[in-house]
Amino acid sequence: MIGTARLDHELRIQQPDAVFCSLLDATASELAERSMVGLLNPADRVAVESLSRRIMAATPGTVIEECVGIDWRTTRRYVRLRLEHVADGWTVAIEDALAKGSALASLVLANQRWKSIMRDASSDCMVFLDETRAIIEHNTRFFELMTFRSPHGVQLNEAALRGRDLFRLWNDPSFDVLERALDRPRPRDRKFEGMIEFRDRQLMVRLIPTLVPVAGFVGCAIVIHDSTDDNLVRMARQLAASNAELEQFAYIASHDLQEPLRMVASYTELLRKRYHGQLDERADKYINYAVEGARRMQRLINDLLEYSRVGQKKMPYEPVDAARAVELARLNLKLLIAEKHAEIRVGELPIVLSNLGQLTQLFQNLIGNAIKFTEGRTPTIEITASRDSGAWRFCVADNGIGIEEQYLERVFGLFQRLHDRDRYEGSGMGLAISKRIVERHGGRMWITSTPGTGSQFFFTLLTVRHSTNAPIDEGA
Amino acid sequence: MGEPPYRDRFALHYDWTLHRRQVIDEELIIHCHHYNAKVQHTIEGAAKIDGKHIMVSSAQAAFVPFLARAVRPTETPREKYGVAAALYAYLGFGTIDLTQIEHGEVTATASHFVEGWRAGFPQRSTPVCTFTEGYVQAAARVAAGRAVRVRETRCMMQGHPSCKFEVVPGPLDDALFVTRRPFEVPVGPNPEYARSPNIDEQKIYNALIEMPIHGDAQGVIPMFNVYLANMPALFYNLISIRFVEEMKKLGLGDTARQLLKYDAETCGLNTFRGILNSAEWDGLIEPMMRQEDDKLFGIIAVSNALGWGNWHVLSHEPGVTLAMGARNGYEALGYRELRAVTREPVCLMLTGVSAGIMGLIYGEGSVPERIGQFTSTESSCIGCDHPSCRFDVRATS
Repeated sequence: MIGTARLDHELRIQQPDAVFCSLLDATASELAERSMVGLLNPADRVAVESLSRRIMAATPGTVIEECVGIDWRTTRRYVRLRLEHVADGWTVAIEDALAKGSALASLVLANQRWKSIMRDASSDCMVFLDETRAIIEHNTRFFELMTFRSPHGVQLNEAALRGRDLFRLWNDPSFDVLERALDRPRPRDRKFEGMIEFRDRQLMVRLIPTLVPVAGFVGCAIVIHDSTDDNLVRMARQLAASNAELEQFAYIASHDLQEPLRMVASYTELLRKRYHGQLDERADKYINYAVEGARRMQRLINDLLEYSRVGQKKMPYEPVDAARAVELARLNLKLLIAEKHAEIRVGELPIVLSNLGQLTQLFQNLIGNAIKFTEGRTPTIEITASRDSGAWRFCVADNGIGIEEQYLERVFGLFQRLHDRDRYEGSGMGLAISKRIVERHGGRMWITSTPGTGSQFFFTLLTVRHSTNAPIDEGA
Repeated sequence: MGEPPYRDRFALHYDWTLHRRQVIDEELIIHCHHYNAKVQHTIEGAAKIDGKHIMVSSAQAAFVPFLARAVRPTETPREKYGVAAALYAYLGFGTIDLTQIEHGEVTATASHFVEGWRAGFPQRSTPVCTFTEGYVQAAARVAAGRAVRVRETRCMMQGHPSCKFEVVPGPLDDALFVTRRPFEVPVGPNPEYARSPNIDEQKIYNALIEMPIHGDAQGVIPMFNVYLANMPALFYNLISIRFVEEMKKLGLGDTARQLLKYDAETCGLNTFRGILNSAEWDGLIEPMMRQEDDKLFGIIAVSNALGWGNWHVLSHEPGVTLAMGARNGYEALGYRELRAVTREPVCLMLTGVSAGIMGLIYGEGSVPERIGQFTSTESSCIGCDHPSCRFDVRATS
């Protein structure tokens, strides 16, 4: 039921109809000459202000609509109010915005419920963008956590955020992954979930596209959980800080040891060349021990340096075709593969967010290892990938000598060797480096093995779940 | 940052009794970008009046006498333009280059109005430096005796690297001159004000008076987490009075008055939120906080030091009511200087701000949600020939 009335230029009520009067529980004479603006409930301040501004800016022909509270004596109603500026004043129409069963009431109530949830039901940050990535709405937590500032350090207020491009406000490459997700051609694929480091915070960020029937993509919601102070994350950060110090130590130590060691290796080698056979047999033996020892130490230090480099380098991650990384690893191992007649079978591999150099090194270590530890038969290596809870799980399987169960964990340790040096060369660092690469990607690595039959090395790439070119699980 | 030019000439005088800030005998009010931009938005947003003209002519009217006192008769026009540019920066409006004004061009490379709009309001693609147009018109009048019309042709708000103003000869605007009748502040015994034993008001006044609240190297004042500016009270009074009068002719006087109160309420919420979250507050006032309502007394002391008037708490029930008394609010005194006694209270800024302060301290939800949670009424006003102004704030039912 819609009640109508005419208003004069000063918005005083003239000729209210019966419905208008009944909605306010008043008579026509009681309402006559009353200011329409004066009937608005001051508690509904934002709507009243919005309405007042639009009345002030109106010219004949302007139509203003607003849902607003009306307060008349003991009658309080939430109405949809429609004002039209006509030549000799205004016309007004009101209807109960909360009338049971009306579509308008459903929308109003749904909107209020939604606002309550956003405001009170979550301690997470929420921000909603339109299809141009401009901010439509956000909750207080978002405002407080982000504290966007002007170049002079003045905090931008809520009104200043509205309509702004969120990514320009962030102005931080950490959020590029979100932009890339929004660039995906299929609206349903414009999802993202992952950890992002912003300023000194660890943020768990979820991007959810807003899809409307018929209209399609109309924007998105971004929900951010600040996990910086979560216990586990805090402990992980402390651990990471401690590890970083150790890595720095290892890097410096191994780097600085190279030069004196090179001198020792060079001069013992020189000693052997110049004086071999000139001293007694025992002296020759001792010199050989020294030369071999120096070489071994060089290899160990080189591998230690490589290991600490994996931890130190902050490689930019980008979409990398895992098949391309395998191809490069094969090229690097061309001679060994040819020499051992190794057969390498590669399944369909995904695109992952990684660093091509590190991923190549990872495959190279695993393939090289598989070939090295195969005896008496042609090495056969199979590389596959499959989905695992939204991540990609890779498997490098071989038909090598295998590892006994009690050694499965040991193989990933630093300088861990399960066999004599004379039998299998190496420093025992290859798998440690591989595991470290995987962990730098936020993934994990493990092994299953049957002695005499072969081993399967598994690893996952977890850092950013929806970084593949494969369709995203709708249920994920 | 070096000392601003003409520092001695622009020295601040603070009237400790009436809490008024003066520079070269001009009463200045410190407001932040929220208030300045919001009021401009309201006045220029009215469809059937020339709101922009109100802003420009009021700036011009306020600064002609002010600048006339700032320059020396012995100075050349060029030097006077230099003083005008320096005063503009000193007051916190930004940086303007007036050296090419005789060639019809003025450039601004920093602006309180642009920065203020960006920090407090949604994006807009139209120029915002209306005030500067009036200021430059006043400068031309004072420095060279010229009547000019100034129009901003491009603005940093639109993404340009600087604001450009076109200066053309124009008719002498009557609004250039306003008559101010001397009005003596009513004298009488101060009422019994409520005070907090924890808030050392004098210490706050001292600190804020000594604080160099003037433009930085760019001529802006980013302090207390907001952009501040020192504005003549006359300017605020002229725009408010003229706007309400114009709207009254359209039958929308009440709407206009209400909107100016809303602007002040929004300002009270945002400005004092900025102040509460500032390093200045943390260092100076936060250590005095002992009880729930100390925040209120701290905020009122700060506002007095900013020149808003000699207003104090009369009574206060935390979270429920607040009564404030003002002995010399600039709106009421200004109204009496410019107009006759009125029936309607005129302190729209203090009315709105008092509601905003209560909302900020005792309201619920985010700052935008606190708008309207308290309502303020000016129950007596010097503008209505009452001996003082009184504001009654209560929680909106």
